[in-house]
Amino acid sequence: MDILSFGFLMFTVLLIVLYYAFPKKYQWIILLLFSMFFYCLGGIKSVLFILITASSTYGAARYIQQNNDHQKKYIKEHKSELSKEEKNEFKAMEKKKRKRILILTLVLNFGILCSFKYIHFAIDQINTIANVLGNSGIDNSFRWIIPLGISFYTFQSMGYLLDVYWNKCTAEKNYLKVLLFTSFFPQITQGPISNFNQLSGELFKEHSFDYHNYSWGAQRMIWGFFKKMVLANMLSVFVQDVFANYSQYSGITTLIGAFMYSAQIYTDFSGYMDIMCGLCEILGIRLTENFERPYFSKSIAEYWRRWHISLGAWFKNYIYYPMAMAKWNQKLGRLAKEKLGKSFGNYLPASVALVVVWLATGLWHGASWAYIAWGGVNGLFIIFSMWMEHIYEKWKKVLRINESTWLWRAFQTIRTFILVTFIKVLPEVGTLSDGFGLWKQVFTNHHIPASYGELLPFVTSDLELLVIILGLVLVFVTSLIQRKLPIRAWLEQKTSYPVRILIYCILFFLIMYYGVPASGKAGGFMYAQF
Amino acid sequence: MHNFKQAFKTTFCFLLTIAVISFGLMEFYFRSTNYYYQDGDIREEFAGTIDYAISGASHGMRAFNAERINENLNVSSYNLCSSRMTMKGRYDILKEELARNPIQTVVIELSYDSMSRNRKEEGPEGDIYVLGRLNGISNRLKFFFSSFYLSEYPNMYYDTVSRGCYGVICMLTGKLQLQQASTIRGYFPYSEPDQGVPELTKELYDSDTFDTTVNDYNEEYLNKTLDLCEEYGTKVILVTTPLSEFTIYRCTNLDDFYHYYSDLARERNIEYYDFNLLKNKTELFHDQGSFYDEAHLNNAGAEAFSNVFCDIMTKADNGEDVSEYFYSSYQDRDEIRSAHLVSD
Repeated sequence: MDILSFGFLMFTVLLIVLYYAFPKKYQWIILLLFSMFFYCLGGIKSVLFILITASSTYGAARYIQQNNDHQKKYIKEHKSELSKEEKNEFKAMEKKKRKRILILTLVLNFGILCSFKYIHFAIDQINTIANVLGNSGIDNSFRWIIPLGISFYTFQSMGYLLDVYWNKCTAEKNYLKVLLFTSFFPQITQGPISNFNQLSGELFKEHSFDYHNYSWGAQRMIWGFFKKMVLANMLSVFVQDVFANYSQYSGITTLIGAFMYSAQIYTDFSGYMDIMCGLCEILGIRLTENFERPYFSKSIAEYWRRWHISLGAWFKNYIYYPMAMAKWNQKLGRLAKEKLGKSFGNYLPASVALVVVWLATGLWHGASWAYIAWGGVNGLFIIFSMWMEHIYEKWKKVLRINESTWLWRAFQTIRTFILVTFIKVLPEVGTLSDGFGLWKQVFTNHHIPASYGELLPFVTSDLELLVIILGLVLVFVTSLIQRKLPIRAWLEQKTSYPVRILIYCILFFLIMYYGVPASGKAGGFMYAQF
Repeated sequence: MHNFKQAFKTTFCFLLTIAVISFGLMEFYFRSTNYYYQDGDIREEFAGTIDYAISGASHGMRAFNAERINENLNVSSYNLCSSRMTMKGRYDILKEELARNPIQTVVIELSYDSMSRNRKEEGPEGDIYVLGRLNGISNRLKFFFSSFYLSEYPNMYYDTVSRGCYGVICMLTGKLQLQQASTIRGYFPYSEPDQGVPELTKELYDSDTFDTTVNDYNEEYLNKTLDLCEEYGTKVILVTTPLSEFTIYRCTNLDDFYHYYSDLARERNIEYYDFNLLKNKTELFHDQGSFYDEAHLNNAGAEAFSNVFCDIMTKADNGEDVSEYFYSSYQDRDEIRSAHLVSD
């Protein structure tokens, strides 16, 4: 179902009405029915795969939990009979069983994900090697329809399974609740990726209708539609033109296009989050926030703590920490410390884990060398910053840089924004060489456009450009205000009720006039492709 | 309960504000020059003076030169036709005019697509034009809810509101042109100079033929229109305007429509003239000189047709048997022509 459609609005209204009309104990069942309906609209065949994930996750989590409970019970009951070695042996044996089930389930679900997402990429690489060796390759013309949201729900479910394995949460006994956790429709296409403890607390709680939630949720939804339909979609038309024709444009025009892309992807993704978080807020459900003013970051590392927060948290909790704390990595760190010095010893395990995390992050975003390179570049920047941190501190002392001044903070913010923009555009232009080509165009084409038309040749309507600029200023100002106070609270303090109604009506008409036609040209949400 | 009341109040206020602004924008749209035959104000000016009305769709809009008709028949006519007008649209506009004018004669333009037009498949274009032609919010609302399908409401809302926004932007940027009268008593001539039927159309002579069927909904409204005219004691004349020879060639069942209209006319004791069956039709309305495209007369063609039409009407009013000027059917026309070709 297209989120940007009248049908989705009707779906939302019906959901809200039924959610509060039925007795509270059935609210989560309503959510489940609507989630499955939403999913079925994406294709009945896809339902099979989400059921496989939900069922295997449920079964494995229950087995692991029961095995764990049985182990504890057995040890407790035979405390006096068993020696320490026997207890350890029993624990190791039971752990082995749990691990086996865990690995099987991880392989099954990630296997399905990788098959759908990476089969063509893998065949392309095999064919490249085969061609070099003079052999014919494998037929790569078939196309599988990727199940809706497979990246998101697979990660979310496997995170839950790992949490159960690591005793961070208790396995849910009700299969339908696990199915809801897996298929909850506001998250399924673009996240956020939640952990079970946090989301289950929201989903299965009984919610009373609250005017404040309703009002704030609706405001957030309208704001999200404005960001996506007006700003992101209008910017998309300009950005597509620049990415397709950058070789014909000057460096400065190409750079403007790249900055527009940064604005586009932010308004697109955060717009979706606002719509879904707003809807959940109306239902009394708090979703994990996925953005925290990312373009105000002062370093790449900070940026990734503010952008797509839930994905970063997932990789941190389930890849980075386990790898960084793994015995072999710790051993590597100790060896490096002995041979190469304290710094190496401290940073090497983290660096190894970061390399894996960022290559995986790149691959998650797309099955291409461009995305892998994108992930690698991000990782390199973060690792480099980590290694250089103490050197930077020395330089700042020598140069007497006062980090608390607004000038220094502005410099850091602008520098980070520019770096992030350059890294972002790398996989988006087309192939990896296209990405590098765009960088080259920015740095080597020094032609100064002689006129406004030459500077912005992709702009067909000055009025549309004005709307975009004003809209982005509004987003920026809103972000500034939100450092201290939620914007909706600020509006309640500073404006009257009729003025607030009028503000949202104006946003509504801007969405109608600019957003609807732009949505026809720009297509769906960008992160839905992942 | 307090929460629900507050939520209801806020939602109501929001929707009410949207509705008020939307109505304002829609009204702005209908009053600005968004399309050329918004003639509600013009018809209001003529109210009380029209005694001769032409009702039809685009064939009629381009064919009946109201000034020629006024000169030749000594009447005060108005061409009520517009593009893609459905039978219901024609009925509603005619009803409005019958109520405020001393109309003595109504000419109803009927072609093969008048009765075969499928509103559901074709979409609301014709009804959108009628909306623009009506004056007053209540008239438009009445027509809207009686003519548009529920599934069309969101698109219609978006279409009119966004055009209204465009009108406001034009006004703010100084580009707004207020409604202009680009019709001559409803007759809408082409603004560009007359040309022959385009080359591309000639190539289509080898394309597939087609036939169409009478649609019940259109039949219902045609009968309602005739009943309405009867109610007002108005004389009705059914007319099929000239089509290009190319279209006559391609449409394989024009006789079905001819007989349908003829039978209807006979039942209702009214006149019917199919000007495609004029014996000198091809001399009077040559494809190259008289047509803008395969179905619509150009300005010269409209001039010629209006004169011919008035001539036939005058003769008929004087008691002359005008049937001798016409073939009795398309089959008859084709047979007689073929016979002449063979003998030549």
